[in-house]
Amino acid sequence: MKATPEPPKLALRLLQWFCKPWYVEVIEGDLYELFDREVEHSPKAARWKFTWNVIRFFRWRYIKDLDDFLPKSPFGMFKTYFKVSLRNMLKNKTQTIFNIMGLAIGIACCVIILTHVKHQTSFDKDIPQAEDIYRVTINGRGPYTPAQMVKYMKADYPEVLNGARLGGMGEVVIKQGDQYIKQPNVLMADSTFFDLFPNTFMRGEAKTALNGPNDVVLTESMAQKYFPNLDPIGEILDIDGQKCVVKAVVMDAPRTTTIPYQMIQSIPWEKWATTGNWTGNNFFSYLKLAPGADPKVLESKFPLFIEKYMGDEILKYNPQYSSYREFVQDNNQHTFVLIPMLDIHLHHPSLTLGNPGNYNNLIIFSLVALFILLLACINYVNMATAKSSLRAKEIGIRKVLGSVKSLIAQQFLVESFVITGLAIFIAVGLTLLVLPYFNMISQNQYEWADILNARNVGWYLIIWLMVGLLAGVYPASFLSSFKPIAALKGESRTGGNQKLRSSLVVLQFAISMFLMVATFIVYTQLRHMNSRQLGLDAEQVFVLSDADKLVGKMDRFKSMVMGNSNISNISFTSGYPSGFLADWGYHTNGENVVSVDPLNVFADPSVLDVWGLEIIEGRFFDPNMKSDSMTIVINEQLQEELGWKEPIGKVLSRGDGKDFRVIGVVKDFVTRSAKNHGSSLLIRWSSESTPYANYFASIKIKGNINEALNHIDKTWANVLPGYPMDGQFMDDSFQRLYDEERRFGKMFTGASVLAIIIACIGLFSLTAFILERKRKEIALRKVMGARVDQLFFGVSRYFVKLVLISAIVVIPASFYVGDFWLSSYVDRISLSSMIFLIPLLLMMIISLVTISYQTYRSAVKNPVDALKEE
Amino acid sequence: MEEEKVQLGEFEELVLLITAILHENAYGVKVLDEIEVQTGRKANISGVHTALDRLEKKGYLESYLGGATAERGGRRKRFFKVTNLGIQVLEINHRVRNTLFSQIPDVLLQNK
Repeated sequence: MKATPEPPKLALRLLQWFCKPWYVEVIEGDLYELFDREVEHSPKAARWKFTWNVIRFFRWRYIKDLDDFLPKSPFGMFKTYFKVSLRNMLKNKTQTIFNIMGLAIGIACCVIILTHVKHQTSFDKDIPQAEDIYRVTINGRGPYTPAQMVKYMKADYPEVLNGARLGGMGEVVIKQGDQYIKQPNVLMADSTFFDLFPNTFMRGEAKTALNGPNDVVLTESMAQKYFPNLDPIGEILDIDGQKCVVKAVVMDAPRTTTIPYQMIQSIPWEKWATTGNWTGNNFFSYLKLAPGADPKVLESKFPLFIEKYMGDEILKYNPQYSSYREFVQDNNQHTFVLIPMLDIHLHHPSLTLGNPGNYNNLIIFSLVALFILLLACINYVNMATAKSSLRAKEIGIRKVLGSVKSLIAQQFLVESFVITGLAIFIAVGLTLLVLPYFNMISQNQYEWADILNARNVGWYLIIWLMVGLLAGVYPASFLSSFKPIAALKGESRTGGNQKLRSSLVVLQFAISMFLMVATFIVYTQLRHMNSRQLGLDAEQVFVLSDADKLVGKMDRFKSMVMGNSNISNISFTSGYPSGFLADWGYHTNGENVVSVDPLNVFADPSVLDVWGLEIIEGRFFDPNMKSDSMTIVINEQLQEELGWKEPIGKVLSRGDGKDFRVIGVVKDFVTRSAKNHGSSLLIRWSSESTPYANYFASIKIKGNINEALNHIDKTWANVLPGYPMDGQFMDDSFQRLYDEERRFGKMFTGASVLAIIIACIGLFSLTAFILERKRKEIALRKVMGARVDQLFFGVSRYFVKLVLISAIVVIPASFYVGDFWLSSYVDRISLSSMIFLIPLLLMMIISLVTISYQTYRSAVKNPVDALKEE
Repeated sequence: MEEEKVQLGEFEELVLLITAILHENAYGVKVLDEIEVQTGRKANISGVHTALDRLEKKGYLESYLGGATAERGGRRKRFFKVTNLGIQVLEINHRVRNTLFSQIPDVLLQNK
């Protein structure tokens, strides 16, 4: 007998694999029947059809779920938990929305800060072997080093594999045709630059890129800017009057670099750059050490290095010492310190060539974000335990039916995980929504891809687990410990632990108030710094940069500018208060030599009037006295440092044979931000021909500012056609010193607002709960004759008490932290009681307003409604 | 049972009617065949199963397993029976159709 044809085994196995067992037999039977019928006509077609039919049964309805795949897992139970959670969430919609929104805000803060932290900690990490690259500094602080240092270190020490000097990174002026274009971020570098900091070359190659004296390497975007749609290789670019040849095009520098160059010029082959002066510090120096070499060992060899190469020159400027050893013994620290490249961005902000990071701020804002998240978790815990009376019966019945504590605890954990999961989705949405505002305040350029990437998904999972546990563990253990009989009889410990809830609310108030006080302190200090007594007249002074371009035409410019009635005076100087001022070394002559390093300002005689300085002894430069060119005017602080009772006529020397006679003392004026101490300073006479002297022109304006600026603009364009004018008011420049504080203040404002919103959400739902429980009490009191305001007072008293308790906790803490923050400012506010009282009052008002709506509503209700129902 | 509560897809209604016709003898393949015999429509066995399951869930059908035979690779059949609710639904649909049809103006039917 012929064997009965069988349907394809594979298809049968497939069906048995995916289909729910209950359905398998019936479906198989029907498929067999169809197969048997058709197999007589064409066995092949029948087999195909059988398989096809199996595949057609691949429908949701027939596919096994997790229960079937893992019959012994507790998944079925979790499905129930999940369902119960959703039902509960839908039942208390307001509470659910408040819970989710609170958590979402907290998580969004964390997501933003995480993104920020990730960005800030990844600086320079993409440089190969970045851990072996070190920056050489003077005494760990001074960013500039001598010209020949790298060359000799490379020659003297075998563990120094390579080194590169960088310079510039400032703004240059590029001339194209008759157009002058200001170009920032132009770096000067040795030919070894790309050995230490490789980049991808689009055109040209690393070996030949920076070899010649006037070579320039462009980044892609610069090549596009200056030579659109052209091959830039070999083209000439006029940089600050130098004709430079484009040798290569590289990719744009990454966002996370401490050397954010847009263009690189080769370091020139002039004397100052090749042999240079050992006491002239002009270069940023980077060394690449052999892998694993200990920088401490290398550092220990530097004192000999300094003595060998620099000893003689140091003695020249410190003639009071007869040998270099003696100079060192007198506690004159002068050594090279190696700073790991990877530490520069966050830990040595003064060394970066880009925007510095701020490690403390990073820590502060991470803590603030965690605090805000903690607030949201507290809300959840409070509400979950407060509303426990609503769940008491459910828990009782579950227990009676045989559920154990751990299973009930699981139920509540699942609930908190469901809510946290939803909150994370909303948080990511919120983050994307507020990202532009965060970028504006923090001056970053984060994009969607920084928030939504695989790495962050991992973080979201971690946040989900942590927050789910943090919010869920206490309610779960509390609720699952109900005694079933008591719960069913309605006499369980419903309402939760009153003390715990009160202390959590106190903690919330405390965190919110702390942030408020912090914000308040930051802004008070900012206002204080903005209204400092400067000792000079900064408001009406317009400072022009690039005034050295006027040399040769200065008199013409001067007389043309002064030709307008809105301009009263003009002065050419080497620097200006609030801008960069260099310190130069001077010493006294004769016995008991004293060395000082005052800020050195070159200025012409009219600066006294333009800046509004005050002479307190002697006189200022006289434009009619030729002999004044070798005189100086010192400030009070320098006089004090030198210990001169009668300074007029005394002499200071530069160590190169030039002596300067003091003719006057000027009253101290502020030159730097409130973080710095006042500084000793001297003013040296300058004229059009003085070197290093005429970088800035300060113009004093009286009368109509717009007309004056217009006139300056026209005059500049007339004298230097095509060259862009750049200038600012001196008081604006002072304000700009505090940009970082202003950002800090804005971030804190944002954080405190969020913290207060979350605390209010919690307060709002907690009040609702308390009032719900006191419904009958309020009604009875009302029947007995209580007035609405008395009832209101009765409820508010509880919260006022909590605010006061939290104030007691917060005031010492914020005093301590605030004082610490202020300690980095020399000119600072003192912490008065107002700084604490105002936030306290504000907190009180905010919390009373939050609870008043519901309290009022329940106080004016008809007592009969509450009493009649049973 | 109210008319507006009847939730029945077009194919479901067909399957329900066929099951009723087959009376006590309705199972997957049989329903499939009968649909083709009665309407000429070629349905798919998985579609028929889905419709039967849906109708059972809605309470219009109930099912029970028959005895094993040598046919069908020894697999049992799952028979379907129309419930009282199912009958009511069919009646409602029938009535509604008739009422609607009877209101079509004669002139339309004559001039087709």
